[in-house]
Amino acid sequence: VHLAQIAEVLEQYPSLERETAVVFVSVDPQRDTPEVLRGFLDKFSTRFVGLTGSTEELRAAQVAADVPPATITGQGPDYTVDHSGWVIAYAPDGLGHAIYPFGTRQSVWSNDLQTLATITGESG
Amino acid sequence: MITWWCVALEKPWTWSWIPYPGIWIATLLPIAGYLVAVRRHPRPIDWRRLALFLGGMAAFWVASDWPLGALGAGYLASAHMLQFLLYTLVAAPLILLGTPEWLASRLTSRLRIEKAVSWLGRSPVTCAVTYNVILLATHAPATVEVLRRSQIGSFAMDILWLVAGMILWLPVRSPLPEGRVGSVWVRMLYLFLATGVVAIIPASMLTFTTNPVYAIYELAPRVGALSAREDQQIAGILMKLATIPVVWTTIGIMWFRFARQEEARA
Repeated sequence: VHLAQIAEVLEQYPSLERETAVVFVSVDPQRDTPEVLRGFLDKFSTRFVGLTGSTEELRAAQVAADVPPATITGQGPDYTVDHSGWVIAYAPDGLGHAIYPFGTRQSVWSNDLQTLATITGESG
Repeated sequence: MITWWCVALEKPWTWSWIPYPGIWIATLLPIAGYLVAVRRHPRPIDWRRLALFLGGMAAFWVASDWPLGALGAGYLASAHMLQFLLYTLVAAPLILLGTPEWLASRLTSRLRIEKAVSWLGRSPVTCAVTYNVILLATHAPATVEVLRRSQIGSFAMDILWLVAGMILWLPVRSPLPEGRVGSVWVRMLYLFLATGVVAIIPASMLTFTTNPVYAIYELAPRVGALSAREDQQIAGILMKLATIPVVWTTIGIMWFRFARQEEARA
């Protein structure tokens, strides 16, 4: 849902689209192969980037970003992965300025992404 | 647990059938009541009226039940709009057309609303205002958000739409002849104004707003390739354009009947 919302907002503001990098980080490296990730993201935008890695690397990335680490329940092919649906917005100053939980409306993205794009190291 | 009426499910959409027994009961009870009443009545069954009534109830069932009811309750604004149009422009007028005068009279007098229904049918302004107030209220984002999340709320919205449709069509086609607007010109003008003016506001809002207005459809798992905004735009276009064929066909029929009567009189 969030990827669709963000894609829609970026489509509305082409200048913002050029300045924004959307990075989707998988927490299920077993199923999310690079091909699967690419196919999934292309449904929203061919500019969106997908990242995956080993289970340890992805766990370390989640901890570094202060995201509750994903947990795997069950065994065999029907295992499920419980994970947060957060989107973390980083501004041009390189800092994560906002965390958006599931349920964030498109109008919020529309407003916030434009504001975040103006935050640079110089603007404080 | 049995789900009685279509409600927002908050899980990915699948084309797996879901039973909604409340909808079957709400569809079959009036049909059974109608059939018992016409069989007991001394006059022979009017098959044309029976077909119209069954057509109206079929439209009610299609609008309420899976898949359209489920899609409209929690996935697509366009399905929600299609439901509204089916209730108000198809089910309601067909039910009114299919109800014989003696049955309408008996039913309304038992419910002690005969005078109120007759008065309402002769008051096109009241009907137009009531219909449009319901239209605006039930398409307000807050109303959709609250009502579609519970079975009772969802049921209330669907029934309210059917009632709104009946109120809309009363001045034109009330089963009680004394409860209709007499002048054909007033009827035609009424139908045009009641359906074509106020609806432009929500229809334009849905078509031209940059962001989705209904949280329930925006945050629902997507159905097919439609984005939430495209889905909302289809809803807006449907709201504006779908009334045109129904209303103008009705106006055309009224006009030709009137012209034929005048010709015969001359």
